[in-house]
Amino acid sequence: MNKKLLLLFMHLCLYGFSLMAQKAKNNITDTAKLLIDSTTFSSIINREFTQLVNGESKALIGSFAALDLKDSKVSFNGSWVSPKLKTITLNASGSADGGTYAIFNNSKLNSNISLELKFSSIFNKSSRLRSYLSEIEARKQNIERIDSLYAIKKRSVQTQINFIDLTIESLQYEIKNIITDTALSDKQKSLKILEKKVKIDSLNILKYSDFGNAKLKTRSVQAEYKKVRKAAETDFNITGIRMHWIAFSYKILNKSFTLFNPSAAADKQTSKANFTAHYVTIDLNFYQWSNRPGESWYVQAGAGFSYDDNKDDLLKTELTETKEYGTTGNSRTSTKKYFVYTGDYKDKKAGIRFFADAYWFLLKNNVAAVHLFPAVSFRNKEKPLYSCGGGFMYSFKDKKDDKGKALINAELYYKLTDITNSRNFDKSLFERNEIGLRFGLPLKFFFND
Amino acid sequence: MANLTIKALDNVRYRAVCTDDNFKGRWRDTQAEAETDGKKHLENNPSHSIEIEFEQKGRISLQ
Repeated sequence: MNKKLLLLFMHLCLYGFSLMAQKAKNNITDTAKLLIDSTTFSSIINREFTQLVNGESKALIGSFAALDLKDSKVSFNGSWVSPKLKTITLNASGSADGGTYAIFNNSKLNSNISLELKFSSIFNKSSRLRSYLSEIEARKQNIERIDSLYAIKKRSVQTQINFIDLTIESLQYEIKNIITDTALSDKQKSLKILEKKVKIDSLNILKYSDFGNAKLKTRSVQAEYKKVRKAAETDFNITGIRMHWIAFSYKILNKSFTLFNPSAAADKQTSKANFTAHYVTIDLNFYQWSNRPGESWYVQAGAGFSYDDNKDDLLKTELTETKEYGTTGNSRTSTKKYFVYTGDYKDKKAGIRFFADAYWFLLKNNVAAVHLFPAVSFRNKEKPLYSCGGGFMYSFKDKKDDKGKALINAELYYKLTDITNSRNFDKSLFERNEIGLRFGLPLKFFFND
Repeated sequence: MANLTIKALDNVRYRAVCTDDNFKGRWRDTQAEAETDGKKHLENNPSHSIEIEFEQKGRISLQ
């Protein structure tokens, strides 16, 4: 009996030592992670950057896409995000026919098609984060709780296995005792040994079944722990964030529209125009968000190179065409309305444009913003075109969204389209304007609930 | 002969900032130091809220 106790004691000692060693090892690595170090900081910045640039769910790293097929139009938005704080986005829109989207047709770019490839990369240095001290302490406590729970779960699995092993050993020891017991008859011995062996077999079955498979169980507990632990390391409320990034984009756009010349003969007044424009843009982005009003802003400044036409300078009007069928007194008419462009149309124009967009967010929950957007464009053989606009943006909750989370950012803007009158319009400065409503922001700015 | 190595390091610096007055602690190399600054400020101003600000800085080290 003493031998049996000694065996049990040795097992428990060895088990105890192995647990202590494991705990000590865990403490060395885990205590360091309780703090917000460079790796944790980058993970948070990465998460927020992804959400900001792509508007996707916070923890999503990888490739994702959105497709919208509606009224024979298709728009596609696909993104690839690398853990090294870089995103690549592909936007495509155009006409769809039966779910197909022909980019080229007879080796020519399809009409009214647009393809844009954008690469954004964050400047990790000088990024900032802010959080309440109480939040940081709560994060620490949560991580410690997860660690303790894991240690208990792991120990519980191991204890179950050790219990089975020790019981088997104890039964085997008992069998040895039965064999050497002279007080028992052979029949009694066989019966008792059989009884013990049945118990050993059932314990072995338990040990190697799903419940008893230590490795399987430990692995699943460990995998769950790693997942929960990783999420907890970056899970705390942020009260402020600041980051900067650079973006490069290339866009190809096919323009197909109708030109209108009122002074020409009736059958030659309208003509089709088709041009494929190319744009390359580089922009720098400075972004600061705070949960306090008046401390959030977003500034974008950049340059765009274009190979374009002057469609935007032409006058856009709606034309109504009427056709009459049949003889007088018994005739039918059909009308067709479409947009036409009037003016001196020129294509294959190379140009460069410098632009800036500045948003300053105001009011509680940053629901409003003041927007300023100056720009200057240079095109070959033309005077530079200076423009400047200002707007007021307000975020409304989307009525269609049941959860009330989606926002519609509506901006009422006023733009001076040609400050120096370089296009020689016979209108005054304030008449050369554009007043309108714009919906949406160039990024997925996050608001407080 | 000793080798001179230039290393670019990523590090985070920390400071405590009070949201209720102008208190801004010194930038610290460790989070614990910034937390101590914040807690000291709270001792004298128990109703205030303290934030910890983290800034990632690239650093060049000569070794």
